[in-house]
Amino acid sequence: MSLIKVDSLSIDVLIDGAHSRVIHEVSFEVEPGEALGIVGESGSGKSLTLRAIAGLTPPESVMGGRIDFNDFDITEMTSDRLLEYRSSQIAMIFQDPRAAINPVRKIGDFLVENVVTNLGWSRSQARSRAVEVLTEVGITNPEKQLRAFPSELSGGMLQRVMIASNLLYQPDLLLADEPTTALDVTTQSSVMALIDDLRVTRGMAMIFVTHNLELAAAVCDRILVMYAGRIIESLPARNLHGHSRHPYTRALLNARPQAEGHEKRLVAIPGQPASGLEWTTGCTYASRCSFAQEICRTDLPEMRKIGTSEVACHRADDIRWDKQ
Amino acid sequence: MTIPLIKVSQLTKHFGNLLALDDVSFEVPHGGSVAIVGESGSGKTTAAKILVGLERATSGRVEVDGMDWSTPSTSSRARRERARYLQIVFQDPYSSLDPRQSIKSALREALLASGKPRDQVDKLAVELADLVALPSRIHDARPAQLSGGQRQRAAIARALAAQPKGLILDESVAALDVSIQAQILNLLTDIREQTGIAYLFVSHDLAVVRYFSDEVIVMKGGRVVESGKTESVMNQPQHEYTKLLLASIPRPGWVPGKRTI
Amino acid sequence: MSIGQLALRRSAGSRKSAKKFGWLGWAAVCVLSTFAFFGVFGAAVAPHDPNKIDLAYAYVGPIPGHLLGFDELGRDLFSRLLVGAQSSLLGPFMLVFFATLAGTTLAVVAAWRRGWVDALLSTGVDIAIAFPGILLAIILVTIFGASLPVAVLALTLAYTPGLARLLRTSATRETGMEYIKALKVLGFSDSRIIFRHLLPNLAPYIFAQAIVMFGYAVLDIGALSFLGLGVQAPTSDWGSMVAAGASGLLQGYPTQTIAAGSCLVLTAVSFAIIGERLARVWGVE
Repeated sequence: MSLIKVDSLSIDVLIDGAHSRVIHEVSFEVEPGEALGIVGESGSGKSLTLRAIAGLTPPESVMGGRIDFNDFDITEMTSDRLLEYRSSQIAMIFQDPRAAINPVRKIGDFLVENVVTNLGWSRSQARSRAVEVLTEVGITNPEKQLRAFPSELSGGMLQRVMIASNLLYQPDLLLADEPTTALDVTTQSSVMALIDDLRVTRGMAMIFVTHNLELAAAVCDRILVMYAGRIIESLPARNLHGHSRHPYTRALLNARPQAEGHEKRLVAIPGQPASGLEWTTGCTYASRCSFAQEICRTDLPEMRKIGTSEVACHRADDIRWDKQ
Repeated sequence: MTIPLIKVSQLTKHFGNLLALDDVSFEVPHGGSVAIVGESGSGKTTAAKILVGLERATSGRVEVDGMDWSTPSTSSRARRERARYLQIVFQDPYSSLDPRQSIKSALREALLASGKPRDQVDKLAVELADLVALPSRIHDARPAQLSGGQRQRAAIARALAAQPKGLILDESVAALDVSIQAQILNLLTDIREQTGIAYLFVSHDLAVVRYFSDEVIVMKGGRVVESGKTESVMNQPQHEYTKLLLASIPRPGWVPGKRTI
Repeated sequence: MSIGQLALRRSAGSRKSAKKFGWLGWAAVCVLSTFAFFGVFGAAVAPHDPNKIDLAYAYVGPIPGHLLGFDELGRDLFSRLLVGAQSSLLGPFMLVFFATLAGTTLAVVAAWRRGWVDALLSTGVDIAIAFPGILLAIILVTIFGASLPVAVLALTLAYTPGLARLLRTSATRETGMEYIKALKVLGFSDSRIIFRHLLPNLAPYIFAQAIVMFGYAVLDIGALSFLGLGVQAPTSDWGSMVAAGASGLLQGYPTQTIAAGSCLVLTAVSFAIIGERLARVWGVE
């Protein structure tokens, strides 16, 4: 049984008084304990998809399809059930921990708020647990930090506090939205190592949204690549380098300077990343794709299984990447 | 001995009690491409701001093409004169252009400021826009109508109006999507080949620096911890901090938090 | 990309702005245009001499040719309202003009110079804000005597610090923008950057604040006139008309107070609505 099963998810948001679709036919599953990476550029819909799983769709938007958590459709949850789901079964960390933590309340109050108000723990029980989890996320002198205000902590420390707040209870699923993008590279490395470690020891599943393909490949089991509000490729993370089949996935990887290479020019993708609003009858990526043919502009490519990957590209079998 | 474009010696900067720069010295040769690498609080952006006169150094010496630029210019004539040597492109594409000004008028204004004759600025503005590959249909557009990549192109074009000898790129591609980042980096490479301009590239992204710059200066906590040819610093890092930075770049086979070098 | 950015990408602009301004906004514009017209041409279009006293008609209600009837001295109320528009609006206009000029100057100087100049101005502003405006007005009137210019001066001194503080926040944010720094590096003079780039970008904030302030100005100048500290007799003015009507109110003749008071409130409310709607359209809430 899947932990999360997203089936034909669509999201229409209100823009200029009219509903426009920005997420199209998104379907995927996450098994218990699995780490799924969702990667893409601006407007790909990766964050919206993640938020929908937390039951956080934008105001006045219309959602289509289903999102099942343990075979229970979250869109049909009563508000009590949804609160229980959010407060005890899933956990969420965001890009900017400073924006997610109330600046005028102490770290200790922030940490225990959820378990005291929503899960009915006693304050002293919650505080002693908070000291434990702060130690677990590598914060020294946790007793003192509980009395600190968010402004007294660095971004990396705050993100650790964010992570700790989700460890007081036992969530089944961690939703991480670019959790290290605002951090320095060395901090990113240690925070990612922490998330990875905690996830494995506690058997948590994770959906990790990022624009950084290398980072996603390093900490996830499977990768979904999104473009213009659709999933265009789904593949095992170990296959991302070397075995991806969608021209967009390849192009994204090639656009980054290679860690060991000495290339003269980067292989840039022409044009702008499209958003989910800019869908066409064919493949949205066709206008930027160097392999596009007539069929790409007229027919929408369906997701199909090739080897260990699923790819939405008409030309996925006939492009020979080894000759590129 | 040839005079370097930028020569910084023993630069120190205090913000109150905070020591942002501590005895920093480096050089950028004419036509060279040098990177300052570091994390937040390393002082890399403060150094860049001192070079273009947006901050005043507490002590130390800044020489540009042999001239003493240690104190920011106060007269507008001196300011215009300095504009011909160093220009800067910032990080945030959403705040780097005046929201009320069309791309063409921003370029015309910069050209006029650099002393170009009034009857030529229209032609030169189009040439600049062409140089950064901004299509003519958006020359009259306001920044709000442009994408992040297009804004950064416009900011680069504006900085080039005075035909400066050096361009300071302060995290200029950090906020862009991966595919757009590659476009802008390629553009900057082309411009350097065409004009022989020097770059001082301030960045936290070692993968980009490795590709883009010939020499690298690694900074931490306001001090230079290591510098040299990019290749040797990246391949045989001497300082522990450089090693840590390099080990933190995600790449195939990378495990977060573990040193792989 | 957030929904806001998505919206920005396709936003057509004009249609949305029209919707945001709304019928209430336009109604407020109509009310103010009418008052402004009478402010300029009130004396010309008034059906009767507003200062002609005829005690025989004191407190007489509406009769043909005299729409609102007469005041306690038998003067035509409607004509007095029309002519009163001028002094009732001119005072607030001068007040808003001077306070905006002073407030903007202080805000821009503080934001541009930063450091000790900013600290000094900000502290001065904080102290000035703590001082009640009406009290200041009474002190000034005691020194210089009661007149409209003195009332305007007193309220300008009272309004400027608050406005300066509000605008300083916007100005500081704007001067921190990278385009301002880039313009400095391009070699532009401070005055050019301030007048050609900074102020035009601050203009929506300044105008929105000025319009909202106009609403308060109408009421405050009205209040000073009501207290006899502003416009002096026999010049008709809505604030002093409210005061003059007070005795009539007690005797069961409320027309003057209600009519003049309504004009003041309508003006103030209209300015508040327009200011708020414009701020919404310009996105400077």
